[in-house]
Formats: sequence, structure tokens, C-alpha cells
Amino acid sequence: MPVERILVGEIGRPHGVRGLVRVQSFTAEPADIAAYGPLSDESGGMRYALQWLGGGLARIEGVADRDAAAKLTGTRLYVARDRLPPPEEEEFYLADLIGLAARDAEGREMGRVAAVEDFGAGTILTLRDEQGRETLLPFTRAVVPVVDVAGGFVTVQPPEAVVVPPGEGDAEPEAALPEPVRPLPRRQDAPRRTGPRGVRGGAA
Amino acid sequence: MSRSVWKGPFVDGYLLNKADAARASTRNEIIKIWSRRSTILPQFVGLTFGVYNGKKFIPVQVSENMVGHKFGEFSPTRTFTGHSSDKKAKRG
Repeated sequence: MPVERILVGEIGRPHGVRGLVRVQSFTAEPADIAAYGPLSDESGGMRYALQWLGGGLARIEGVADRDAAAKLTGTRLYVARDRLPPPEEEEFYLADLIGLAARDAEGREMGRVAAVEDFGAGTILTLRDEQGRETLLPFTRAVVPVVDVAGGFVTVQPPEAVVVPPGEGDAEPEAALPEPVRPLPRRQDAPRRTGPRGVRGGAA
Repeated sequence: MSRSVWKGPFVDGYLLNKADAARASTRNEIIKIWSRRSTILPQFVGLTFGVYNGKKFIPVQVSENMVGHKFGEFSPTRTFTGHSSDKKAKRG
């Protein structure tokens, strides 16, 4: 079930005396917070039109002095989900994925998607079951063949875990090297100098 | 100081054996390892490792531009929770 509103930022302290405010933007590109049109607060009653000035500063329409800006400190800004552009093929908004039910190929419940993370080596889905146990799965076609956002579920095929405990076969690190290592010549192996040495102590 | 080139990259030997076995099989598997210190070699490209971060095994899908880095770089040991906002994930 897709969420209706998405948290995109939070208004911080006022900046200067002309009603500018600091805004903490949670969007992928900070300036995009102003690109989705007017934003609403947590209750949905108030609407704020932001003008992004860069450097974490923004001007809010209708806020002209510091006192008015100070009253907005701490306000969380939301955007309606349907204002976000449709994702490309094989792309999903994290907000859509989080909360989906996870099922295996036979339809058994495996928990819900609790988080979606990326540490630089592919996207990872974190599933959490009713007992609070977490399972981390790579977000690939092989492991997550079906993503049905409208239906509210993902089908997962958890990969087989192969455990390589530390120490197993640890005695053969040389196997890593494609060719035998030739050590650099050490200083004591260099041929000794022959011939007269320079006179020490100068001409005296 | 950086590591001397003549030593070659460091990698725990048993990872290579396991990677060879994994490449030979066509099964969908994740290789759980504790060796965060091992360098990612070209032989590992295309495999998925579960790299221990002290608490859980973080899936690491090895790609070409990760070669030369260490496994531990892709398995953070500290928790960071951000907001999902308008961020997108691409299915690999």
C-alpha cells in the first residue's frame, strides 16, 4: 500500500532578519525540496511554498521577518506521494518499498520490508519478521523477482548461505598471488664498495 | 604508509577457493565471510558475499569498480538511519 505523504525536510532556525530560514532537506538532491510545489506540515493544514537559495537556506512565501520565521522552527515538511515523478523501469521509491509484506515463492509470510539501504555495494532490503528477527537480502532480480507496490508485497527467494568461517584453509595465503613474489634486493645483499674512501675530517 | 607493491594484494587464501567453487556452481548463494581485511580481486566480480560487521552479514555484490578495495569498506559497523524521502532504489 503506497504512502500518501512523504517527509522531505524540516525547517530549522531563522537566518537574518528578513524571514529566511535554514531548511534541512532529506531529498536526494537538496534543492529538489522546492521542486515539488507547496509543502504541507505534519497535520496537513498549513502549506508552505519554498524558494531554495542554496547552502541550506530557503525563503518561505509569506514569511517576511525573523519572528515569523522563528515560529516555524521544527516544522516538518511533507509532499504528497503523487507529486513525485514516476520512477524509471526497475526503479522504486524507498518510501514505496518500506512496509511491503515479504513472501516466499510458496506464499508464506516472511515479514515486512523494514529498511532499504545502500552501502556502495548494491541495494539491500532489510526484512523484519514478527519476532523482530532481521534478514538482509540483496535487491536483485534473482532474490526479489516480484515487486508489487500496488498489491503491497514482494516475493523473495532467499539465497543459500555458504558459511566460510575464519581459519578454514588459512594456511595458504600464497594462493592469492598470481606469480611468485621476487623480493626487492636488500641493502646488505648489494656488493660492497671497493676502492679508496674519501678523506674524513676535511683537508686538516 | 601504503602497502608495498611487490607483496601483491592481501587476501585470505580460503576466500579464493570458495570463490572458485561459487563461480563453478550456478546456484543463487551468498558467501558469508568474516574477512573484512581481504582485498577484492577480479576473480570475485559477480559474486555476492555476506560481510560480517560485528552484528550481521551485509550483502556485498561485487562489481568491477570495487576491485582493489577491502571487503570491510562495504559493510559499515556503525548504524546510520536517514529518511527515505524521494530517494530511489534500482533493482540489480
